[in-house]
Amino acid sequence: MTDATQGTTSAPAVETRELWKTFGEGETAVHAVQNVTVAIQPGEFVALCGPSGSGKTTLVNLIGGLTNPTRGTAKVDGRDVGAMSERERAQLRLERIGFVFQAYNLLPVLTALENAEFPLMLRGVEREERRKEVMELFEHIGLGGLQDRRPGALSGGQQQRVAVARAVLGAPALVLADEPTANLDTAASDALLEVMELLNEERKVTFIFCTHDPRVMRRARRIIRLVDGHVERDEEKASGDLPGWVLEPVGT
Amino acid sequence: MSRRRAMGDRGFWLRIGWRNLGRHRRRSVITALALAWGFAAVVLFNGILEGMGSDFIRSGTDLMAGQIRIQNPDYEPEQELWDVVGGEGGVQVSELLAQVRSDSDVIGAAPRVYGAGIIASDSTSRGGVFMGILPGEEAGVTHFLEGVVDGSPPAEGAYEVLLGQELARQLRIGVGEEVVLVAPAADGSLGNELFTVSGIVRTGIPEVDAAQAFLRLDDLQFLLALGPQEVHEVVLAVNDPWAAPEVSRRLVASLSGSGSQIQVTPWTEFRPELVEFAGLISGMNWVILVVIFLMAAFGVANTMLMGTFERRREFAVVKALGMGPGRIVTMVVGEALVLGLLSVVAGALISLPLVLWLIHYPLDLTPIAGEQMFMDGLFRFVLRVEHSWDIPIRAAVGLVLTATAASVYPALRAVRVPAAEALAGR
Repeated sequence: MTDATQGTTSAPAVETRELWKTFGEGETAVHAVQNVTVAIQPGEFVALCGPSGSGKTTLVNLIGGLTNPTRGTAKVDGRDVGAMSERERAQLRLERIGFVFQAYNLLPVLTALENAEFPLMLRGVEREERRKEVMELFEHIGLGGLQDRRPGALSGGQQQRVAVARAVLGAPALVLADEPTANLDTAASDALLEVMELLNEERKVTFIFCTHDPRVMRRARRIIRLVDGHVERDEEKASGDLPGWVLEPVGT
Repeated sequence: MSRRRAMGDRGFWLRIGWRNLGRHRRRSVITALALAWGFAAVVLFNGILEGMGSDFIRSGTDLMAGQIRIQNPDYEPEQELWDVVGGEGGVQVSELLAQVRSDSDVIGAAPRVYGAGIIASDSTSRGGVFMGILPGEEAGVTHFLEGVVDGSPPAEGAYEVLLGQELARQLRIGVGEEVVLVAPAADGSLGNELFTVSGIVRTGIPEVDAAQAFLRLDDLQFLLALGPQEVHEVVLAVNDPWAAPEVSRRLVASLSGSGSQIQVTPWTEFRPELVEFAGLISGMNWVILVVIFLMAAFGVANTMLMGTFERRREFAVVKALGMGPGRIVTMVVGEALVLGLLSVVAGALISLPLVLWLIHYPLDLTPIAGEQMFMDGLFRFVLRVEHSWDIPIRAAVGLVLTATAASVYPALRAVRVPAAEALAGR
């Protein structure tokens, strides 16, 4: 089994320093992320929570190099993502980062199996090997027998499971998941979270979730609450606990 | 990366390309059909133009000029009667003919003698140009004897002459009547002889029809005091007009030991205007190719751009999954490549029957358009495709290159899709 921490330095898995992201200019400027400084160590299981518009998705996009910071730095494995070329960022995402999107974002022309194996194919993994990996995971997360279906022929929960499989196959060092359980029922959510917890525990994959879902926050071992783009609270906790403050309205 | 895996990846991109085309089937089919028609149009028009160009060249060389001339090097341009090929100290013309006919590309050889003088009928006289021919041999090289409108070519041993139609009209003479031909001979004497008009010919070339008299080769040799092995010219026909320069070089090499001074000239040298015309045809072919494929390029670019705009979120996703700019370009270009290949197949299916039909059953438009004199050739408007494999190959390569080249800009647009914004639906 591959350990996601293999090949990494002793640097934090993710480190942001005085990170800002501003949309627009002048009076219409919106500071989606303001002066965020956090360090997330390899193998952490972190929930980013906060009200809608608090900057969770933007922060995840900054960490994943999908958008450039206005100021400050975002580092993955000690490498400044904002300073990389587009090609280097693509390579970093391919080798180290898995993404799970709220809206699944499966490629409609590919089957479930082809969607899941897509990053492995980009990495150059042999067809037989990647198909074996996909099928093993599919069996584990209840997608056995659905591998040849296109996304349109899968339920929302099934699509999200394919999206998670796509993100975690090949054991990336870091998985950035944006509301992964938002469209799932309880059973499906739990099944997915179990897979992610297993990967986190066994392969030391670092998970950062943007979420409103108490089930996710309960399983997380660190919760960071964003409000208006800045970090309001950042606390470690035991898995299974749900601190009262995460459910309190912002500002109380 | 192993070679096997690289090949597998390529199949993956082509498969994605194929499936993406299937997402908007109607749009893809319309674009592919437009490209296919472009391909068919290029193949057809180029084939017709090639056929037309070939017909122009054949009519310009086959009517009278021939495709290769063998002459005494001093004969042109003065055309002195004594600058002959063959005769004493030189090669025997019969041997020369046998030698050139042994070349596999030579399909006909005819000796000729030329002279000039006066043709007199009972009522009047005209200046004329005399050409001594062997009608049987001439028919294997040129076509002007097909224009005999009355009577027949001159027969052997009968002192007969075939007159141009206009010349006969001016001499007020017909078949069976007699004329006197007077001509300065090669030995300085003045030759004159009585000939019977065997026929009237209309070549379509005004200066020929108004002044030319065709005699048997030996009759004109006698009139001009030339020996039986002395001719001014041997004209040849070859399998492929464009092979004439190469055949000429071969003949020069093989005839160099004959002991006679000879000059072998292909039509590309004595009819340079035909070469220029062929170049013009080739240029027109390229213009057609470029214009049609330029239109095709806009069609492909439009289709691919629409696809790129519609799939912004998908490009953002693949970027998030770690797909680099090069692979995104490959994915989009792969789609265009599939479109181009499909169009070539469809275009071939559209054009092949038409091309084959026009190769085997040329459409004769002469009843509508008539015959035209063009560059000393009688041109008939026949819609005929000259088949050569380089036309469809050139069109296919052009089409696929056009399709892929036209997709580069949309591919670059796809690379520049801002991932975060596109994922947020902005």
